[in-house]
Amino acid sequence: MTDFHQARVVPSVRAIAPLPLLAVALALGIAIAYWIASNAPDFKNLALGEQTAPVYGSLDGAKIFCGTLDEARECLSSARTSSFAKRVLWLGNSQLYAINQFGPGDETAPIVLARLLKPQRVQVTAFAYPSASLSELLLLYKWLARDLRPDVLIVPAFLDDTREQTIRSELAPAFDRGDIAAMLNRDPIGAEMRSRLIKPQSLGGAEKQDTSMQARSENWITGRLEACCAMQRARSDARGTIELQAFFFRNWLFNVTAQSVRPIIPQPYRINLGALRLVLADARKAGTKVIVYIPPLRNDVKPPYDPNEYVSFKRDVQRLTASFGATFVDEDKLVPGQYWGTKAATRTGGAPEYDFMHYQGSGHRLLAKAMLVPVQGALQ
Amino acid sequence: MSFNSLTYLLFLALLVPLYWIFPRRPRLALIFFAGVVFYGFWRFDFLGVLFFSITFDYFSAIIISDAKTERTRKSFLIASIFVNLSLIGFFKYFYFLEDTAIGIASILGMKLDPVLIDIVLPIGISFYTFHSMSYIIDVYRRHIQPTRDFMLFIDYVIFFPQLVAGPILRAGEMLWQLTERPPFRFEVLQAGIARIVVGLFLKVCIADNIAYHVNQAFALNPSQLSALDVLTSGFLFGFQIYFDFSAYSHIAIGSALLLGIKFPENFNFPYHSTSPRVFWRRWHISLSSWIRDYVYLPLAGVKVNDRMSTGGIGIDGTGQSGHRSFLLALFATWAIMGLWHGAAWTFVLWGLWHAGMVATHRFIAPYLERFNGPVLAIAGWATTLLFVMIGWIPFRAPSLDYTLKAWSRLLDPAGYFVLNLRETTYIIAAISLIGSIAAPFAYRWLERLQERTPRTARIIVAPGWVVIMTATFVYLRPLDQFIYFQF
Repeated sequence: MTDFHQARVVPSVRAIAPLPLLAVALALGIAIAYWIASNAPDFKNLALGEQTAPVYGSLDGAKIFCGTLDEARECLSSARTSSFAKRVLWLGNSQLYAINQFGPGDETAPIVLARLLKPQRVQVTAFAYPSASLSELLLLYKWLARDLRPDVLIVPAFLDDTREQTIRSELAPAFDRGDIAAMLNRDPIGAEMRSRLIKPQSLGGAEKQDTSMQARSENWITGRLEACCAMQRARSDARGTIELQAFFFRNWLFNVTAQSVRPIIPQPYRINLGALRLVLADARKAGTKVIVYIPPLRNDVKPPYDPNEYVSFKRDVQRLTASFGATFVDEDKLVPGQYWGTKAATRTGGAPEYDFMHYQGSGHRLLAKAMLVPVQGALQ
Repeated sequence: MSFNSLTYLLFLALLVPLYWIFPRRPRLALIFFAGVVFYGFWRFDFLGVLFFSITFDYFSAIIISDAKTERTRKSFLIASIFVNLSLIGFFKYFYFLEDTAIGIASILGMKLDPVLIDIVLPIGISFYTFHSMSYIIDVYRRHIQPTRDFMLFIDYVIFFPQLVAGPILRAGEMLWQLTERPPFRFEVLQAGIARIVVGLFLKVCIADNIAYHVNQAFALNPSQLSALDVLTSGFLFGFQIYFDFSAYSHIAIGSALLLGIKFPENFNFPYHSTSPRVFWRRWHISLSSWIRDYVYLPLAGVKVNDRMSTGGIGIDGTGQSGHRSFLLALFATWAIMGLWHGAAWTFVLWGLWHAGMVATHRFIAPYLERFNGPVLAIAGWATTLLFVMIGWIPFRAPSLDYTLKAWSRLLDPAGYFVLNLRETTYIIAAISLIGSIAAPFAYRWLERLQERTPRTARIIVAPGWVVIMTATFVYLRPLDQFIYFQF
């Protein structure tokens, strides 16, 4: 037998890492991960900042404002059991469900609007995701509208959220529902949206339905370890904290603050406005009146947009809305500076920053009242 | 079984002590059993295909070796190659050939209906058929004697660290190591563990995190991308596949070392190459040397001796590499190389792109020799890196149409100042680029330090190991499969 093996490179077996060093490194690594996890922030509401609370809210004990697809069943059930003649669906992002410096008696805008419309026997249902893009709002609208059959749909157009590139995995079932799939298949935007869905994954290295022995074994081992070891359970918190700190570090390194200009990103911008077009077209076909509004923007300090891009964005939205005969409302100057607040620094060692998204209860009341007129107009 | 899983670590922890305790025959049976379990974690039913290939090649090799006439030898060689290529052709290329036939028929105005069958690609088929074929060809070339021990031959093919994604090993490298277990050496075990840890770190902490940005970038419509976006996407995927596949190779080499078996290295800082030829001596070395010895040289009409396996398809040791037959062989080999990776024309285009790079370099290299020096080296490195990264676009792209549109965007000079991706994507591409430039220098410096003052070297690398261990512990999840598993 010849000695091929000698002719090719073989790995060096000189180890810079003796086993005791590796063992100590592993022990220290686990301890550090555990320490990182024990200092993890509340990830769910992190983006809201310390001053802002997620409120949602209900009306007379009925759930009318939801934030997950599971909760949406309750909202739909509330709407179905209601004897009201007309229905309004209000979609949005965290601005809709969160209140800065939340105080007693404060309510979110949809709840205030629902209260205002109650005497006219109009039911309001609201749904909001954090940083929801218009593509996600399209899916949510279709998902809810089949059962809800709203008379009026209210959709905000945030410049920030046109920058979002992905669609959260929770919305994966929407792509598979017949009516939604058919609508997306008819339009090129549909295929682009589909490619942006974050695929739900399991530990098997494949999608959720993975029943391979690899997936089952991995789930079993992970489950056992999580049941017995706090360190194993802490890993996801440690991951989140590391990624958050990396994000803060990036912001520190490039001097990114809440006031840094967020430019329009052409591709997601085009797709998100395409999604808004599909909302408007589908709603018109279904006989639903649509109100598209430019949401309140803090204007006592320099906003984080290029002024020209912002004006051009509002013009694009207005033109698109008008082309479908829908109502366009510009509310960006609605909430005065004193009704806004701050949020924790988003950079390493930074000071608290202006919050451009979430305002106080007074802001919510202003927005609800501002929406009342166009909604009443649409209902007539 | 996925390397980046707790299941695999548990599997190793159970297997390694038994391997060192067992005497020869039970040890060979243990390797066989480990291979079956490892493969079966994906699907047990495809073990039949694997064993059919193994059995056929085992007996073919013996017949070839014992045959009295050249005609018999050649007949069984052809039969074995035919069987192996038929297996891979059916499972891997059926849909590709069908689509191509339907496309050609449509161009000719004919209508062909697709055959409705559901074919699942057996994982690792491209790798284990290449293992088997190299064995048969080496026996035919009389470079090695066939083994008469069936279990030993099964173990050579089914040896789990290399079963599904290489490195592609020759029988001459492996059989003796399986037969004569080397004495247990603690430092080899340590090196194996260290390689596995490094591999896991590269996969779960780096490759999988780059993957998210790559997926986002390639989900975009190419005609709407700017030149900078296309370049960034190509670079990002280039880094992802490098970290992913080199991670796999680290874990494979490390796992084999735990059993005292040495695999050849599969990567050697390929993105530091100063020419396409050097790149292919440093990237997926086991495949490039395999393709060279079993495809390229035979196609070019060169008789292969048993000491040529040093990697790289751009060889010109015969002094005839500019000859037309060598050029034809080069392009044919690269088209095959592309198709080996995936059953799509995008992979063929990737192969031809590299053939073009190697051929162009061969043509211009004599003219460049007079400029020898650091400037030429840096220019060679930058050019090679740029073209290799642009070449990754068809490898990752969903279609030829996508590739051509994306490549055409590179010709728009104004597009180098337009950003369509999230800012973080460009930052990650830049960090990866800087890291890949710096890593070999740091590695070589550490190696020299290790030779001079091992104690200082250990003190310097100790914090690095803590970081690696922390990050690996936190991120170890088999969420993303290794890219080369699909080949």
